[in-house]
Amino acid sequence: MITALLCLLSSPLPDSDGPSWHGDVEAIVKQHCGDCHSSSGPAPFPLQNYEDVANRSSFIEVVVREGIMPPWLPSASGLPLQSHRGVSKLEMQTISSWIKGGLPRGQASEVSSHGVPEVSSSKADVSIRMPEPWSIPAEGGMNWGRRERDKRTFVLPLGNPEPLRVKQMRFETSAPKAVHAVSFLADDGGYARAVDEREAGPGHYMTGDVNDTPSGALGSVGVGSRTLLLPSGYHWEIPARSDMVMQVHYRPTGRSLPMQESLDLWLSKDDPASRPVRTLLNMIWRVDVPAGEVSELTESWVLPVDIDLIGFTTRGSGVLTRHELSATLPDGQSLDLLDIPDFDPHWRQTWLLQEIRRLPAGTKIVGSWTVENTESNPRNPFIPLDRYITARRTGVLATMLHVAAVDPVEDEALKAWHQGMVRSRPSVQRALQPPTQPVSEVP
Amino acid sequence: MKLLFIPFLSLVFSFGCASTQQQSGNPVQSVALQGKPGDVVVLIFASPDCPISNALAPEYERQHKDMVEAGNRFYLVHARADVTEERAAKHASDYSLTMPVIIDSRQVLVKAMNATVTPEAVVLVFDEKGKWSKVYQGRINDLYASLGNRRDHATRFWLRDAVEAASNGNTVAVAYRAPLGCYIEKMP
Repeated sequence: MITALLCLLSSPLPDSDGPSWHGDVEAIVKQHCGDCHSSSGPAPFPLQNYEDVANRSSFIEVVVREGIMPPWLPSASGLPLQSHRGVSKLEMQTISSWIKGGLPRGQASEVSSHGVPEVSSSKADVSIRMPEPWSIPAEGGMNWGRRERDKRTFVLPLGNPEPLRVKQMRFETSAPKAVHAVSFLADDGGYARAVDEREAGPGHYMTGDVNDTPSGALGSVGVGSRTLLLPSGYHWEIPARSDMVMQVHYRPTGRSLPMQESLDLWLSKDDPASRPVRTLLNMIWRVDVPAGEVSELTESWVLPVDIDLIGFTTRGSGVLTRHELSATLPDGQSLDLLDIPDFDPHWRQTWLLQEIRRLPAGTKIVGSWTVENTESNPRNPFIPLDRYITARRTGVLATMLHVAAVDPVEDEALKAWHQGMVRSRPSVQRALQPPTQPVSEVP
Repeated sequence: MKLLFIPFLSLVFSFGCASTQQQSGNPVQSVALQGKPGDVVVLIFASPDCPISNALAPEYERQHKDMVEAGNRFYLVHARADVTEERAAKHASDYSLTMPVIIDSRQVLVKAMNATVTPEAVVLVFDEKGKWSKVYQGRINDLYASLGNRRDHATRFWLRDAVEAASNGNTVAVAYRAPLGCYIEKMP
């Protein structure tokens, strides 16, 4: 409640004569829209000045009022998140009043900057790039398994002789208007490389997972959030001689676009006490929903050690419409961690918490998902309706909790517990049978 | 690609004999949208920077080719007042569009057809009385289920259904399907 009040208080208030561009609306647009709606950004047109916005004012009002823009999936019910892009009701009212008032310019004034975390502007320690481009097709469609075809996984060799401790990642794309969520993991076994070699051309279609490591174990970047900066004192751990495996979720734009992505890494070098971030899966590994039906699914487990919760990465396809993640502390207190009332796979990313949340051993983590295999689900890829049945060892539906053991001594125990939990799934037991050819998706 | 300019208010798409002007390099020539009974014309109101409109570009091109093959016509109409000839040409090149493009810089067609968003389709048929009749207006297909909700591929093709019915001399079953896309900001 206090946070909500602070948000309201920090929002620009319309002046008595009604809102103007310089007095009120410019700041809102800069804060919520400007990063993407620039000439080189992922959005289709710029919103950088009065003319840009006034010339599209009625469309802007509709997409903001209906919550379509700016894209931001989590509601305010969960823990406060960094780089929040959602527009408050007061800000919506300000935009509407400005349009109704005839789009007045007002007096030019300074526009305050918004609260994006300060990222490093120094030269990256490691820079990797796709060795050759791949063309995003002009149109989408279904693959052989009647699943969306709008993902592709690429292997970027790191060639690191020693383990890396990464504190910041910055992704850059040559096709910003088509590339949406991009998820990462480190593969030190050459598994993704082997899958890649089975398919012609750059990259491969399979899901981007490597055995029981989910795509996104090292986080995801999304539209409007191409940089991932961990809080001070934490790092992603990348084993020696790893490949960075990058799954790109794109949206065809009507024309073929060449894509040659790059990734910059900044290392944690002078913080020996920095703790590694681990990824815990809360997931549904198998989903079976008849045509026309809605299914509610839940999954829970209990934390074996005290952890610091840093953020989340949620995964699911177009049949997933709602997701909630909550915690019940050992003293019985309930805590809403994450609430996504209208999930859209294209707008996912890693959401980092504004403040790290400590959860004690014995905390029960409960995930719940609503899967709508119906005509009324506008993102259901299975139209005409068909039974939706699929399984994946790392979860057809999953939220990855990015955490660190409070006591570094318990880090190994946390890893072992999580691996045991994931491998206890029936699909995984089956998939781990020889032959040892790497498999990324369980049929 | 041919670029067709709508001159000021001289065009009133009256369903009788609408005229456009065609740029042919040097002097601007006046051309009339003439027809014979049974002819079918499709107008697609578009915008070079509307992602919903652009996502359908391959479908425009397919339908254009099909219509030309059947002896009919297909036009892309840029509905925004600020689209220049250069921008329209670049857009056609970027999206591999080969149909004639109308730059409706005065929004004459927009107003005559009461177009509201991009993309929005209009199907006209030249009737026995020697006039163009509007037999369909609205959505092209269901690639977008709603604003912000795009499917991976379209499953219903309403414009194609309307053209097929009109070409066969049949009544279009649903003459209007509310279009979905980027709003056309109207000129005063």
